[in-house]
Amino acid sequence: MTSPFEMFSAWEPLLKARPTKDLDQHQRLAHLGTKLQGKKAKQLSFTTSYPGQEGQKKYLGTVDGNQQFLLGYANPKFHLAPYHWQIIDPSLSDEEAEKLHLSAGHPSKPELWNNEDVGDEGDLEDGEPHVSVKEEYDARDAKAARDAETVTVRCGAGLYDAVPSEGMIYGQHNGHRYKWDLLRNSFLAAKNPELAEKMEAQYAMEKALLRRRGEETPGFENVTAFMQPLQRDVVRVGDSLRVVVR
Amino acid sequence: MTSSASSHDDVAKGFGLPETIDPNHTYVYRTGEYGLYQYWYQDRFENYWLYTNAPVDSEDYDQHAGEAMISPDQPMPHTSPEFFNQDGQKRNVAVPAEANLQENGNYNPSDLRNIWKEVYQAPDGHPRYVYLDKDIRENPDMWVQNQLRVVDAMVPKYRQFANNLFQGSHPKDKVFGAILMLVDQGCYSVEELLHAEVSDLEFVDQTVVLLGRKFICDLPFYDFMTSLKGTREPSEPLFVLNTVYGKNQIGLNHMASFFAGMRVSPVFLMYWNASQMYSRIVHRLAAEQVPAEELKERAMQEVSLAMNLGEEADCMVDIRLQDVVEQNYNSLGKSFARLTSDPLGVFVVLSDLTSRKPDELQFSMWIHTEPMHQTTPEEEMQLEAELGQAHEEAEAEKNPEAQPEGMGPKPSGEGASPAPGEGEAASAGQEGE
Repeated sequence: MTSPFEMFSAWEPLLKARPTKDLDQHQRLAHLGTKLQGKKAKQLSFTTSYPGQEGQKKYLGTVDGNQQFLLGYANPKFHLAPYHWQIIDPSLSDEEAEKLHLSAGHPSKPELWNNEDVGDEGDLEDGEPHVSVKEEYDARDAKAARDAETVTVRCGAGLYDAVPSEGMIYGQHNGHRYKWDLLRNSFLAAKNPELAEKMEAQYAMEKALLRRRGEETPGFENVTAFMQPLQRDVVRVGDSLRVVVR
Repeated sequence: MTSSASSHDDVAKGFGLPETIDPNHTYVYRTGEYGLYQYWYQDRFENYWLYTNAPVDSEDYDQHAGEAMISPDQPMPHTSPEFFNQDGQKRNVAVPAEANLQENGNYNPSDLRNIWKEVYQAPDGHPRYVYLDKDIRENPDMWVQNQLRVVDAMVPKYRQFANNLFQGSHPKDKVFGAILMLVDQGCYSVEELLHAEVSDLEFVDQTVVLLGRKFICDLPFYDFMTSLKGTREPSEPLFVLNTVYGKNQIGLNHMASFFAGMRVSPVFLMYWNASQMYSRIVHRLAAEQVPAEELKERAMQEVSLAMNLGEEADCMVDIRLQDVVEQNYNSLGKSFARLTSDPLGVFVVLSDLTSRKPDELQFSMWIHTEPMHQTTPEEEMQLEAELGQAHEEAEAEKNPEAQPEGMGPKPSGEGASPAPGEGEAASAGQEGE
């Protein structure tokens, strides 16, 4: 088995100061042994865009790897975790690494990166990519979540996508969008009860109409339903107020 | 049970209606809310018929609504034949007896370009499309547009009713009249108003600030609003009724019954107001010579600010209107001169308003002439030309001696039909001229 000191050339000063021992036998580095338990070398490797070395794999903990990483030449899709900072500087404690991770952020500079073919690297479980990539991923996740909740129905001559969380119905055939308010009393709503149920749940939450209460008390009970006091919240939207009924 | 059945029979007989569900009618769906429902059945021509209840075996059946009977308050072949075509299919509008109807040979209910059933030339020279009632119902795009037209048609009655209530001597009537006016002219939602508290009402000189939005109003309405504030506790509901149980907040069901009675949907009333306002703003932007590419964003932003719609303003403005003003933006400026001078963004509530305002009237005229299906200006012009020709031929057949010798029907594209470009300007200009 390769000693970590052979791999992490940037740790050379530590190696010089002490006789060769396993990582967990160095008191100051013992915590890193626990951190790196189960981690693989590829979780410390990244692709660089350093001039002249574009596309090469580099490792955190090596002299040139650390240098290029800190200069911002690393793949922005490298998932950076707090322990990576300890690989770069093994003298950092866990606390210091956490603080540095939060304050310094991801060192990659997307403007120095032009290799879109390279995918995710680093620690995909515990780490996070550069914020620019994260936004892209969030958008992708949001789209996936939206696709998952979208209900598509055919009504008349058109196909319609209903997105309950947005309270909107989108016409696939013409790109028009309608608020659920407008369509909740339509043929489309009546003929697609599952869709209506999902949309109504959101609608009731947002607008807090008493439709459900009305349905639960049909007929004559409705005549006196208007006498029931209502609970209300007033929320501020921009410069104005909106009433939300609980 | 016997007496109930016999009274039902009496009512049905009184209206000359079938005494039970017509065996040719099949229950399809229910609309409505707050316990006020409409039950729609379909016959073998696929016409929809309004009933008072669902069949007993349906899960929509309302045990308190009695036996299902057909509603007399709808077009019937024997009472309103102008609503039915020769095949017995129900139209979306009544067609004038003198109209020279032409059928769409390519009619296809699955094609939004050819979903129109008939067309005729109106006295103004423009085509009026006639759709089947079932196509309007079953296609959300057309249904929403139709609702806009329905609300538009009901606006004068709505305002007269609100005015009558507000002028009434009973405080209860006044409250309901005021709420109807605020929903219409102040663009408040019913829910907002019914759950507003006294603390949500403020005054700045002659301006009323209700739920954080300003409006100005005439003196009688201002007096009424000040009477709501008085010395009441800030946490009290703003609109209350004196009941035997004391002062009670007005409920949604109660208010919904007013709207259902008038057949005006408060949501579509707001849709109508937003569309009308969008049209007004676009005309002003045209006068300011705002570049066409900035038009939509700026106009929507203003509508959103004025009506507090957030990012959803575009959903509350008629799609057809958006398309047409974009297409004809350059020819809109000329009609700005006759717009009212309401301060934009601050609504004006007038207690004596009983009809449409001038710019609303122009908008109203415009929407009723606009087709509801997908079409292009070129198709419109071609159809207008064909209708013009057919009209002249029909006139020539009626009065052959009035036609000078050698003068046959004019070829397509000449005479009554508009020149290229005129049609576009006319369809956009109608709104503001």
